[in-house]
Amino acid sequence: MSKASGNKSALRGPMLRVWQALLLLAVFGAWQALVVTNVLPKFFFGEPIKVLTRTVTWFTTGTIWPHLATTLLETVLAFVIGATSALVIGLWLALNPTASALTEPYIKAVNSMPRVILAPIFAVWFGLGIWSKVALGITLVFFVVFFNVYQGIKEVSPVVLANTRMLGASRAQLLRTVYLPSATSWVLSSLHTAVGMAFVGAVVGEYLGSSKGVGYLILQAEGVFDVNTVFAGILVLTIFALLLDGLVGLVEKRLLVWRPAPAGTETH
Amino acid sequence: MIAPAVALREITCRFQTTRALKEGTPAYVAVNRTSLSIADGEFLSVIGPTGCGKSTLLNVTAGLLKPSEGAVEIFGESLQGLNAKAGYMFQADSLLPWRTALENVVLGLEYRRVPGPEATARALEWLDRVGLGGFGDRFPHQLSGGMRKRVSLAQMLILDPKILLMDEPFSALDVQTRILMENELLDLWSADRKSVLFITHDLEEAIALSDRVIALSAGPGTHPIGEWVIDLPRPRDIAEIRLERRFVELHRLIWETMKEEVLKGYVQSQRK
Repeated sequence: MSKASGNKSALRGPMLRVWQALLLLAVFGAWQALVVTNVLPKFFFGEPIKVLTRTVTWFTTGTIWPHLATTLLETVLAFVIGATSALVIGLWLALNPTASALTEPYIKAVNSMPRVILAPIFAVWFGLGIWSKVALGITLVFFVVFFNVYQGIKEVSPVVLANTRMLGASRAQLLRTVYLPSATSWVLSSLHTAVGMAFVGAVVGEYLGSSKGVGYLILQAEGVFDVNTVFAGILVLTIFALLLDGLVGLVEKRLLVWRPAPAGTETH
Repeated sequence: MIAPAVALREITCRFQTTRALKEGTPAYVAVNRTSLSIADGEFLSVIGPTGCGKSTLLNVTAGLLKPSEGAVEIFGESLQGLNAKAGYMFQADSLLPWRTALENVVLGLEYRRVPGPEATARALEWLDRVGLGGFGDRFPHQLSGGMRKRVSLAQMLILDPKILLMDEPFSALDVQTRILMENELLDLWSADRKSVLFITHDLEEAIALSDRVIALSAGPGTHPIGEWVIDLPRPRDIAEIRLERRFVELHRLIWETMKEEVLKGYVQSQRK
């Protein structure tokens, strides 16, 4: 370990990955050791080995798929609906000073409200199916994207705007060729947060009342004090959150080719 | 008699600052009762100290800014809204960063709904003419400052405007690139004489490029303080013309007047 911390070159490329894996193993190992030796009570802390076997059996028997599919569907729906409506409303408000001045205090108010508290209301309105979770996800995603769209419109350089106007752009063309791409680039940089929010909405919604989904699995396990299954659910959620994040990274890379790379990244 | 390409009559531009509104002081007068005209095919430069309201005059001619008083006439017709006969080249970067060089040049044609293949062909031709053949697929951030200016030039010229409005377009470039760009501009201009209103704070650039030079006073309340016809023969080479006797004479002549104005402005500011 002293070698790794003392010599920077040891923490590069493939070696870095190896050390990262070792760190993970060490944490799990320590956890397992503490539980086996009864320093930590098994009843509250579970056993890493059992958590892993539970996770693996879920996938080998396929019992996890319907739950995972439900959670992911809710996430995707919340994300798409939330981001699209935020884009449309953000564009409209940013280009309409009267409407934006009129609604500003209310948007601020709704944004500062802890929106998770809306989940019970959505459950009453939309039932225990997927739509109450989607609704919660939307309220979380919407504001992240909305403020980015708003910023994206306000950040359009006045020179670029004057130039496109001189080139003969109509209002609709200005929207399509200047405002929308500018807003989109801002939305894309908020995608990571937005997807995470959609995921949170789905899981929290399931946790508060549902009949399917990973959040539901966790709730069920908690009801019978099956800590290992709770941890397994958390593990699955973490893995898929990372996968979603990676997917967003790919999309972002694809759509933002026109952006200069941040200084220094290419010298690594 | 043929109407001039651009005629500004008694233009005054006042800007209401928030401070002026609060304290009841009069509005800031950027340009005061300024008249000038550009003949069809004439290259006119306007020089003056930085921040004296040169860009304001350009924006008025472009129709981006409505003057507080006075009239703007384009080829004898009163200007309403944006000036559709003019192309504008800005001092700052004005390209769309999310579009490639080619897509930026095509922009104006796209707005006029020229069919895609034809527009692309014309844009490629213009990229060649400004010396950027083969750079069409680069994004603005992948181009140097001089190359971005060339793209802007092509973007403006592809629409074949009758009037070119240029706001210190080369001021951000290094000296060598600048001379190259100035020569190229003269080449393109002499091919089909457009009327040019060229704004600069560089006297040498103004003399080397223009048919006529107008000097503005220091702001606020900018107004013309002198006008000189540049009788240097064309075609000109920017790098060489600076060495000619007549160029040096004109330079001294114009500088005499400008120096007086600069001094006057300095004394005024000391009194306050």
